[in-house]
Amino acid sequence: MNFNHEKMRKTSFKYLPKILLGLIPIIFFVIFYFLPVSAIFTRAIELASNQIKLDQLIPRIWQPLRFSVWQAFLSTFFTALLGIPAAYIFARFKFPGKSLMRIITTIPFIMPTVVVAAGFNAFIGPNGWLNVFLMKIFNLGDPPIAIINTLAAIILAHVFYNTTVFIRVIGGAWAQLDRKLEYASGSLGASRIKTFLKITLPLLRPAFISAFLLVFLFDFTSFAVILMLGGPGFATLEVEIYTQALHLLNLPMAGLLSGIQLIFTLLLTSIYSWTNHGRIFQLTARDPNEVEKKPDSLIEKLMIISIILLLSVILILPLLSLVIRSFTQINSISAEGEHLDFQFTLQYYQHLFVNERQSIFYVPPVTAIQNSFVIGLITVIFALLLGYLASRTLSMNTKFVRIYDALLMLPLGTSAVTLGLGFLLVFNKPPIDVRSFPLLIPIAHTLVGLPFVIRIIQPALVSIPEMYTQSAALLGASPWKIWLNIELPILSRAFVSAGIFAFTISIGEFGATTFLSRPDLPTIPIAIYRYLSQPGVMNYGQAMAMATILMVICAMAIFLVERLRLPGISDF
Amino acid sequence: MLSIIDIYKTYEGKPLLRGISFDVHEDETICLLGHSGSGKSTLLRIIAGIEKPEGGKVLWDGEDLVNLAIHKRNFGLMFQDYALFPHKNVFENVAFGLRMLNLSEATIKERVNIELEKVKMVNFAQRRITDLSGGEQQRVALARALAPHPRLLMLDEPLGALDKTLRGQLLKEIRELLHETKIPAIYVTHDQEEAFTIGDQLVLLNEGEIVQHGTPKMIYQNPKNTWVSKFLGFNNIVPGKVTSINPLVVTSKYGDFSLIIKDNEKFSLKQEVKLLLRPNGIQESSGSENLIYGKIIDSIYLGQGFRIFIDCLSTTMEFDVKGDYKIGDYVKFSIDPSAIHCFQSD
Repeated sequence: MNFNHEKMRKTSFKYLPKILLGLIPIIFFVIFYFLPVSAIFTRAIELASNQIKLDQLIPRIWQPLRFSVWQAFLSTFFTALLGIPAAYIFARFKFPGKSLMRIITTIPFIMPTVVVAAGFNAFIGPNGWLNVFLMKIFNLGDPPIAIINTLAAIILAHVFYNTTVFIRVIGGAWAQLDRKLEYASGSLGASRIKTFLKITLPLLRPAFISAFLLVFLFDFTSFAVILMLGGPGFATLEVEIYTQALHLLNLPMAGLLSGIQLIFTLLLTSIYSWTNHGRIFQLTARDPNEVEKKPDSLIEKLMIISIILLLSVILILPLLSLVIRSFTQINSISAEGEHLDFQFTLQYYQHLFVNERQSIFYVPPVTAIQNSFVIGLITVIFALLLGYLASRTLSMNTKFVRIYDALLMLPLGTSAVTLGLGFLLVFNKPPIDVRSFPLLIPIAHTLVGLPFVIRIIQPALVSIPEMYTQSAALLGASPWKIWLNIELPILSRAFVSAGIFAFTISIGEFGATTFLSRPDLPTIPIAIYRYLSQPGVMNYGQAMAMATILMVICAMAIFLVERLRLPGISDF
Repeated sequence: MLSIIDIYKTYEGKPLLRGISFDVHEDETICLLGHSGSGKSTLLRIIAGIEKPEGGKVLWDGEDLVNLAIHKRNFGLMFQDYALFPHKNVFENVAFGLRMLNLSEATIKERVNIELEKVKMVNFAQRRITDLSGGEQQRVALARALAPHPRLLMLDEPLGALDKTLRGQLLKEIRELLHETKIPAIYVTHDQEEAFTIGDQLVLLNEGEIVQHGTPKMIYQNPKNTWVSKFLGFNNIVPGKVTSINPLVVTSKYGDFSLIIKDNEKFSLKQEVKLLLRPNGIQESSGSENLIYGKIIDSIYLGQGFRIFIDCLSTTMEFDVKGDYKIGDYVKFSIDPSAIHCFQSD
C-alpha cells in the first residue's frame, strides 16, 4: 500500500518537468496566436453587432467571399482535370524519366508564391516570353496574349501549385490499392469502367475527398497569386483584408473579413481532419513491381506522353522563363515587334547592389536578401526550440496530447494574412510594437512553420527506443549526458531537415510579412512584389533577378532535405 | 476445352516462360506445381487475361483468347490473399459477379444463398469482410468466384496464407466442390501435398519450362530427374554407371544396386545414371546386395516409426524405419530393389 503510493507520487513527479517545458509552446501560442485571432474576432463581432453598419457592409463582404469561393472552385476543378490523370499514371505505370518527373512535381511544394507569380509573369505576362516570341514572329506591336490580370492567370498558377497535391494524396493511395481487387472484379465480369466506379473509386474516396478539400482550402486562402496575377480587378477575402487594412486603413472591416475567412478555413480544416480520421480501409504499402506496369497499348502511351508534356509545361516553363528573363535585356529598336533584340545582361543583378535615389527602397536591394537570411535564421532557432519542446510533450502518453496536437496544428488552417492582421491589431503599443519590434516577423514565420517542424521532429523522437536511454542510464549517464550523447545525435538529422524547412518557409513567406515589414526592412518576397508593381524595364528585370535568387535558395534547401531523406516531409 | 500452346513471356529481358503447352479437359483439375519464380503465377495471369503473352496462344474450344478482355472470359479467379472487396459485405462480394450479369434482385439473392451454403458461410452474409478470419475470407472468395458459374476456375496459391490444419480442411472442401460443380480448374501451388490431393493432372514447372506432366501417381512413381525427385521430397540421390542391362545393375561408390524395372532397354551399358533410393523399403541386413552403410547422425520420431539420417561416405541419406536407433551407431541396410528408381543423368 505504502509502496504503491510512493510509486504513484514518483511517476507524477517524473512528468512534471516535461509538462512545464511543454507549457512553453502553449504560452507562445496564447500570446502570438490566440491573442491576435481573438482580437480579430472581437473587431468582427463589434462591427457585426451594429445592424445598420452591417446592412451596408454585406455587399462589401459578399463580393470577395463569392469570388473567393468561385475562383477556388474553378481552380480546384482545373487542377483535378490534370491532377487525377497524373495521379493515375504515377501510381500505375512505369515510364522513362519517372523519377525525374517525381522530383519536378515537388517543385511547387517549395516555391514561394512570389516566385511563382514572377515566373508566370515571365512566361505569359505582357513582357513574358510567350508574348515576346509571338510579337517577334508575327510582327506585332502589342503583346497578343493578355492573360495576366485575368481569372485565367490565377487558375493557371493554382494548377501549378496544387496538381502535386492530387499526385501525392490520390496517387499515393492509388499506388497502395491492391491490383488484385481489380483483377477479381474483372474476372467477375466487370468492365474497366465498372471496376473503376464500383471498386477503385469507393476505395479511394477518402483520398479523393482529402485532395479536393486540401486544394480547395489552398485556393481559397491564396493571396500572393491573386494579388500579383489577378491585378486590381479581382479580390478574394484574403486580398480584400490586405487592401482594407493596409491601403484603406479600415482595420474593423479587415477584422470582420478575417473573421469570416477564419470560420471558413477552420470549417474546411476540420472536415479535412475528420475525413482523414475516417479511413476505414487500411491501405498497405505495396511493392511497386506489383502495382506499376509498362504501358502496352497505344492509348496508354499517348495518355502518359500528353500528361507528362502538360505537367512539364506548367511546372518547368514558368520557372525557366524566370531564370532566362533575369539574364536577358530586350531592346526594342522600333515600335514594331520585328526589331526586338535579345541581349545577355547581368545588369539586373548588378543593380541590386546600388542604392538609387529614385529607388522604391531606402536601402540597396541586396539588404533585402540580408534581412531575409537573418529573419530566416531567427525563425529556425525559434521553430526548432518550440518544435522540439512540443514534440517531447506530444510523445508522452497522456490524454491531453490530442488536444495539444490539434492546438499546434491550428495555424495550418489560418491564413498568413489573418495572422499578420492579428499581429497588427494586438501588437501596436510598447513593449511589443509592430513598428519597432523586429522579432515579430520571425515569430509569425515560426507560427506558420511550426506544424511542419513538429511533423518532422516528433516521428524521429518517437523512433528512439526507450531501451537506449534506459541502458545509458543503467551505465551511469546523467539525464543531460543522455540527451547530449544519445538523443541529440539521433535527432540531428531531423533537426537539420526541420530547420531547413523552417528556413525555406520563412524566406518565402509573403502574406504575414506584408503586414509586419517596415519600408526600410524589406524581405526578398516583399522586394519582388514592390518591383513587380512598379513600371519600368529595370524594375521588372530586378524582380526577375530577385525571384531567381529566391528560387535558387529554396531549390538548394530542398535538395539538402531530400539528401537527408527523412520521412514525413511530403506527408500531409 | 482450354488449350495453352507454346506460351512465351519475358520479364525485364529474361525469359520467364519458355514455350509452355498443355490442355485442360472437362471436369479436370490441373495443378501447376513449382517453386516461387518458376513462372506459374505469370502463366495463370496470362490465362486469366491480366497479362499478354509475347508468344503462343490461349485457346478455348479453338477460339483464341489473347485479345479478349478479362471481363469477357468468364474465368473465375482466386488469390492467396483473397482480394475480397473491403468496402462490401459478404453478401455483396458474392453478389458482385451476378450483378454484372444484370440478374433480378430475387435471383441474385437466391444464388448468393446457394453459393454461401456450399461454403458453409450462410450465417455470415451480412458480416463485414474485415471481421472474418483468413479461412472464412477464402470461403467467401470461393463462393464469389463460383457464383457467376465460370467456365474455368483459376486458383493462385489459395491456401498459402492459412495455417496447416485449416489448409487441409479447406483443401478437402475445394476438392469436393470442384468435383460437384464439374468446373474445370487450374490450381497453382508450390506445395506438393496440396498438388497431389487436388490435381487430376500435375504440371511441374521449373525456370519457365514444364519439367514433367502427368497424373500424380505417374509422377510419384517415375520422377523424371533429380529436380522432380527433390521437389517431391526424395533426397537420396546416388550417381552411378550402368554395368548390366538385364537385370539392370548400377555401380556406385557404395557398391552395386540391382533394380526391378520394366523398361530396361532405355538404358545402355556404361551410361551415367542416377538412382533414387526411396526412404521406405529398407531393412537391416548382413547380405552383400543393394547395401547402404554408415553412421546414424539423427533420428526423428514420426508416429508410425522413425526417420533416421545416416552419414554415408559424407552424404546424408534419410530412411523410414520401425525401430529406434542410437545416434552414433554404425548400421548396414539392404534396400528392396523395387524401392530403387533409376533415371538418366541431367
